[in-house]
Amino acid sequence: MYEKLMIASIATAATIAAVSMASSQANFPNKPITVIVPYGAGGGTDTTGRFLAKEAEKHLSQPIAVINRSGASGTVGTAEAAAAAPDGYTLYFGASDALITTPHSLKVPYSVDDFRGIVGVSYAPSSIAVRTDSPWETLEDLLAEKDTDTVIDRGHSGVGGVHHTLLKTLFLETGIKFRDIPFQGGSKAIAALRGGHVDLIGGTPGAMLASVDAGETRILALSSPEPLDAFPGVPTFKEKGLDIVATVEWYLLAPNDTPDEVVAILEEAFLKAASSDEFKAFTVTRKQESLVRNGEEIMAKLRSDSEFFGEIINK
Amino acid sequence: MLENILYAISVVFLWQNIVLILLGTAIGMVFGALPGLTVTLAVTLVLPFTFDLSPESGIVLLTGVYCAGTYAGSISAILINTPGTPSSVATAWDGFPLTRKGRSFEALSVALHASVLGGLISAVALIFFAPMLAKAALAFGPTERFALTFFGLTIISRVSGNSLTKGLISALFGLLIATVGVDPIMGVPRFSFNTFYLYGGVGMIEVFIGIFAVAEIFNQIGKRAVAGVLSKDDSRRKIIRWNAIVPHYWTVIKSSVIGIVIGVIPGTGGSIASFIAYDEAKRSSKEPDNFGKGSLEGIAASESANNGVTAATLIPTLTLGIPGNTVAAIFLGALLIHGLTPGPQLFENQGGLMYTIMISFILANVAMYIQGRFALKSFDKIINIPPGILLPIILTMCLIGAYTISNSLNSVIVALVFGCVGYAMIKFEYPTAPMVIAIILGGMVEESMRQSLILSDGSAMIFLTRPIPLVFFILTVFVTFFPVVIQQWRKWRKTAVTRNLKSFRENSKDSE
Repeated sequence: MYEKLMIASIATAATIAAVSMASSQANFPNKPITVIVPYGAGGGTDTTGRFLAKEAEKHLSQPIAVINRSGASGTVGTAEAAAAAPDGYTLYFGASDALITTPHSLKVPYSVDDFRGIVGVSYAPSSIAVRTDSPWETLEDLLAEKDTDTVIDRGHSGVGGVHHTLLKTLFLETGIKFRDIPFQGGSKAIAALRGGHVDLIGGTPGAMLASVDAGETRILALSSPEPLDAFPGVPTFKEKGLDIVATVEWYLLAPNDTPDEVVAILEEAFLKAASSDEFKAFTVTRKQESLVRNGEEIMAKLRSDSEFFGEIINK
Repeated sequence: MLENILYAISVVFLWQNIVLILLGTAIGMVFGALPGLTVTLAVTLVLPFTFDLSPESGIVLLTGVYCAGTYAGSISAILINTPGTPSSVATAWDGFPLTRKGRSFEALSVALHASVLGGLISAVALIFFAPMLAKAALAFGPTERFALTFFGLTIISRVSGNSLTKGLISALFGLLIATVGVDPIMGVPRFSFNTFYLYGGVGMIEVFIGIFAVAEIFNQIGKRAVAGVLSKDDSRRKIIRWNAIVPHYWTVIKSSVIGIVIGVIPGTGGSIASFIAYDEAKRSSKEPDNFGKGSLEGIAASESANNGVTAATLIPTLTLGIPGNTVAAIFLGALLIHGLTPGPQLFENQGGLMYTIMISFILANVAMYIQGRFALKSFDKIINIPPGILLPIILTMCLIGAYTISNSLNSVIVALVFGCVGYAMIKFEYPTAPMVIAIILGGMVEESMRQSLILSDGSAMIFLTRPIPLVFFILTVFVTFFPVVIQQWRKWRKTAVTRNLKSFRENSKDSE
């Protein structure tokens, strides 16, 4: 009697467990989703991630909590996201540097292959800029320096980042002489350019817009694949015959072993969120170019970026 | 400019905005005063609520939180030796000794007045000089920043207490800690032992929590003070009088000006301003020996300087996009969301909004003063709680506070390790002040020096051939060697006078 009862209860428990497991896959999500942002609260990536989460909540039955795991230029949060349980309840919202360029210069416990894509939401190109009183009116003027002894003091936002890599490619390919002065952050590089402490900087063109409007600086070229409406008359490197395309991407990823059906649910909801007019308008205020990519597309882009930056950084 | 100011006044004095300022300062004060909760956290938490407000109202609310939070860091610095921000580190040096002597309320009162005056002077100065200062800030490149921060480092010799040797050992240890992490020029990790948490360096706030609060708690436990009381009860009547600050008016004015000037320089922040103001107050004080042991003048200097920075640091934050500290960084993020773009033309294009910020600064300081007068009595009661109950609560809150910095246990470990280091330093009588200054300034000194030397192809002459660095280096040499020269000269004159006197007497004896 007693044994029978036990067997019956075990069987019942097993059935319930099996059913709930099956339904947990089908009813995804059935508990709140966490999005890890590897930078501090209030910054560009954080606010973009939070806005995306707010939009996506409209399409998912569960709330989405954004948490900041900052530290060590985003590597701490990225490592944690890479090691998270692949159940779709822990996602990762980041920008290119921590995942794409840093693994090539520092020893970190993750790589692009530890993630799979959900959605890519926006990007920003890099660019080079000079003061308006500089002798280089156009990119051609600058490139003409390759046969002279002029040494250019070039500034940027930090070693191993996208902007530094862009400058490295440009100066390697043209053979122009330089001194390399890294600053902690793009704004400090811009201030150093305006104050006359360096001759040229590489950085996000959106951040330079204010000083361009004030007539203090001039953007010589963009590293986007195509010219951008926000910067009329500014050529891309590609147009000028230099094969340099370097962008910072913003994207939402999941740990690599997250099941396909869970990713499909997330992808659908976040694609809708990223395509909404409200979100697109928001990315414009953050000086990003809206470009919605699905999971496959963003991963393909990240893999090729990782390869491209890795090659230059290791040179 | 005038119509912008009038517009700003009409916006700030709407009743909704006055309510928001009162609310903001109250939130800021509570977060700043409680150990473990920081003003950074307060601004982060309030930020989402501003999304639904108009840009002006949102800025008014955040200004209230920012001002009051920066001031309130001094409350926990004075009462329980835990500076909430790097900029109230110098306040703890004198504030906590006063608490131990049972004079906490006097210290709190002076801190409140000095803060409010510093904040007001800063805000008023900005209304008139901001556009000019914004231009001047650009002159500060790597070389200039190195000269300034190097000048800041010389203060180490004067806060070392009795033993200069121990002070220098402490400072060198601090400089060593400042080199941990990815190096700013080459991007190579140093002293990280392959734990990539250390790539970002040792977190400053975690170190302060450890060195100041945790070490002090260990010290109290070590003294078996748990059963007794933290301090003697204050027998004086606990009334805040405005004239408590009067004897220190010159210190306050001087320190506020130091705060404004240094606040305008991009990327330096409030801490170096409060160190320099503290040092200057000590130099010109009639009782320099009292500094570090409980000098009200020291509190007045440190607090008026760091509040002088609050408004001034918004100039590089808003016109260059370079925040001077983490709070200003989040403040900047908030303004970006409200559609304000940092840039050189901010004062021309968005003058109304800019002056709204400055007028709200003035109002926030007034609100802070009124609330402070009421709140300080309650905060002061903290020291009457028996240490057996208070210390575990403080320790828990400090460790939670450390955890919230990066939402990870690593920060808690750093705080505990530095708690042990701090305790050892107390036991072996090593001053912690030089180490803290070195940790705060070390990174800036290294980065700016290496940038300068790259620009000059390795020649150190770059520091002597430019006007601003040259002035700072002359100042450095002056403040380092002048006291020694003066001392020697006095000694020489004294012996000379006595010798003359002696020979005079002998001569007169002879002539008799």
